[in-house]
Amino acid sequence: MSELEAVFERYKREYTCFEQAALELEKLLKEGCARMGLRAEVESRAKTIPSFIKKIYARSYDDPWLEVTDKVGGRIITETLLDRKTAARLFDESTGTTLISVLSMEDKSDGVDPQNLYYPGIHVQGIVPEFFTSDGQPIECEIQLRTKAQDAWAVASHGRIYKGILPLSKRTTRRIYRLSVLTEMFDEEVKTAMDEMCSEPEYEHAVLIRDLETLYLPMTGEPGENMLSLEVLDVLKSLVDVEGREKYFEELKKFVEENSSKISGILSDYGPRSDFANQWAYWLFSQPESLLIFEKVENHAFALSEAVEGTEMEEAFRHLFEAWGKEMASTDI
Amino acid sequence: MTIADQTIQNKVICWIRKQFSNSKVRDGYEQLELVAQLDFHFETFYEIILSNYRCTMKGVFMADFGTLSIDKVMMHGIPKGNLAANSPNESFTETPIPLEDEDRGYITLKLRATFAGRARAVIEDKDLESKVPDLIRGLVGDSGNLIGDSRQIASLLHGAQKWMSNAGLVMVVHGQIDGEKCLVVAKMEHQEGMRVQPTLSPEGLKTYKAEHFHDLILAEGTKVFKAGIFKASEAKDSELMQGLVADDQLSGQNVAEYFVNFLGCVFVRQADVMTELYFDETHRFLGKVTKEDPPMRTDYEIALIVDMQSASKRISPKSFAAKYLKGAHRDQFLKRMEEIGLPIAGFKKDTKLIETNIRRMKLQTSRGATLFVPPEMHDDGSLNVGKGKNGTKKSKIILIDEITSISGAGGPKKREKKSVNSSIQADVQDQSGS
Repeated sequence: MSELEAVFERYKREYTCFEQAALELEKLLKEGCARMGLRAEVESRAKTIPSFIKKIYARSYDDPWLEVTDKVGGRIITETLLDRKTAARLFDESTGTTLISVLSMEDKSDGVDPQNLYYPGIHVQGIVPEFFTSDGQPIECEIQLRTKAQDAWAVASHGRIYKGILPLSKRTTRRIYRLSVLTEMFDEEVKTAMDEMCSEPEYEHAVLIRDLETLYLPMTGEPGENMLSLEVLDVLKSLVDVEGREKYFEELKKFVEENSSKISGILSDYGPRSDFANQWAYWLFSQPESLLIFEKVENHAFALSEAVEGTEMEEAFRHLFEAWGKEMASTDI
Repeated sequence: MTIADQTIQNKVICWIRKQFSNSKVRDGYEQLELVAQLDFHFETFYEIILSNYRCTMKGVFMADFGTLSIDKVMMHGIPKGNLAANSPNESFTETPIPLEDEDRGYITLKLRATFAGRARAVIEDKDLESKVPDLIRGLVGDSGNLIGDSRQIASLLHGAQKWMSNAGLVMVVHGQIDGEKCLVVAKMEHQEGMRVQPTLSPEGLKTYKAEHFHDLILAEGTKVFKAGIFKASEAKDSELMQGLVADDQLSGQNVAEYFVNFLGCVFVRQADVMTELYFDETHRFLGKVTKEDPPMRTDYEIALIVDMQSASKRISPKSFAAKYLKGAHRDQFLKRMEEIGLPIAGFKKDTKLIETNIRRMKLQTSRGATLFVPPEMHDDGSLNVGKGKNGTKKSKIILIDEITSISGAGGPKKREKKSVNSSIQADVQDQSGS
């Protein structure tokens, strides 16, 4: 049996282990994205046996078993360049909270001559934790970080240029490669648009509303009115630290979990699917910011009362206090 | 400071007894004398007391009114004034009121609002020989009859009412709170209001029809005046019944307690004990949050004394927070008041147990200097407490006044170790009257 045949047979024998490692990697990547609040698609795979065979036969490896380092692969596909940068932090060992042990991280655009076209993306080489080959060696994985636009180009080009059966002409190769410019322009324009949006005065509030909806919608099944939410958050701006928004949201999530039964009961009795939904005085129960308000009623009742007293919303807030079983602390002394 | 000295232990035990002056509750705390023999730090000891108290009064101070829900409601009319018992009341009803979801939701909100921030713990007093606790036990334990027993409760309330009591309705509610069955007994008074609806005049012109109503209840902006709530776990046959009562009409001791007494109960803590608990706990809280800021602590302590000395007959933690405290201290303070079971909306003030502690403010320094200052000297600027040099815990105290006498005086013996908390030491000494 030749060396390549031995490697191929070994891969067939241990394929199940690589499949399980790929599932574990996908789970870790998804957990990491959720922790960072990232909206991203996560994929993983164990290199198929045919693909493995083609690779070891196509390349002249000195040690094919060791040198094929993408037996397990993962991919995080983000919406924007900024999100891709956030995803890269999952593998930045200086943060002390990396998902996996990282062997290397390479931005494919680094060091490239700006006059040349290139494959965009970040590749991370790491170790899948707690999985080992038959000889006790840790299992390596390759993780690709791409934006959706980059992924669209990569998927289209990959089968044609990198793994094409027929060698392409220079003209065709260039045609495919120059599409990468479009992905670069697309991502840059999205980034510019995002920066402009972030500089809008109500952007942080809008993001907070989006976060609140992720907790509110499973309980009620109906979204609120975004413009009303912005008005409410404007009234509460002294109580909502937009700079610490992410940390606060984690605390709020914990509060909602700990009080889920009580909150569900209140929203069921007074929320968007109750008989009170059509009564204007109870409109706040049909808004996602009611969750934030319940947290403030529980932990900062006085500050909340002070913020809303004398406003047009005072009566609506009073009903939330009553429903929570607390008294609105009047600041009228 | 550790409690090693027998004299101080005895003083602490006396203090505990004063906190829980109701005899029914005090009996359960003789065991705390054993705790006093142990070498506990005072703060830990205090927390143990409170936590033991909370465990025994389990659920009473900790009821979450946001979980209150109602199942069935009986309402009976009560005429004004007092009527001899056994007189027929033609306003008694014969079946629970029909409730749509909206009606149920509205009454629930009003009841939650009634109790929130106002509830005070009550406990059954057999000496009152009231039939109501057994009726409540039966109703919350399912052996009672809602229609018949609620009529009896209404009749008993009518008999217990004072001559000046208004007519109204008694509401007896089967419900749930904190995941268990409960019973609510409430008295409501009628209110006036007006309804206007669009209509057409006889000439066919658009106008409004106005109707005056004088038999409204639970109108927006008003509250149920008197209500008691009793959980199933606190109304067992073999134990004294406990519950919570909210009463917005606490204008005088006798008037206030007739509703509680009608329920066959007394307040667990009378006004003097509540006032003392409020004073001590507020003092403790202020010391904790102003540890690094003596000028702020001085302002806060003076405010507390002024509040205690004021002519107002009520203490309102809410108002104190609004008037005197700053920023996050307000919410922290109100939360602490709730934790120790004091109604933040307010309660009757009775300073007889703390009279000697509220005439002047006492400043004690780590090296043994003691200053007694009337609050007005702080207000008019005759006393100023400022921070010392940066990096030190020292403060600069300036007192401007005419010296009328200088003499030798006693004081604490010189100690090798500094007091952990000199104000707590001062508290213990004050409790002993020294």
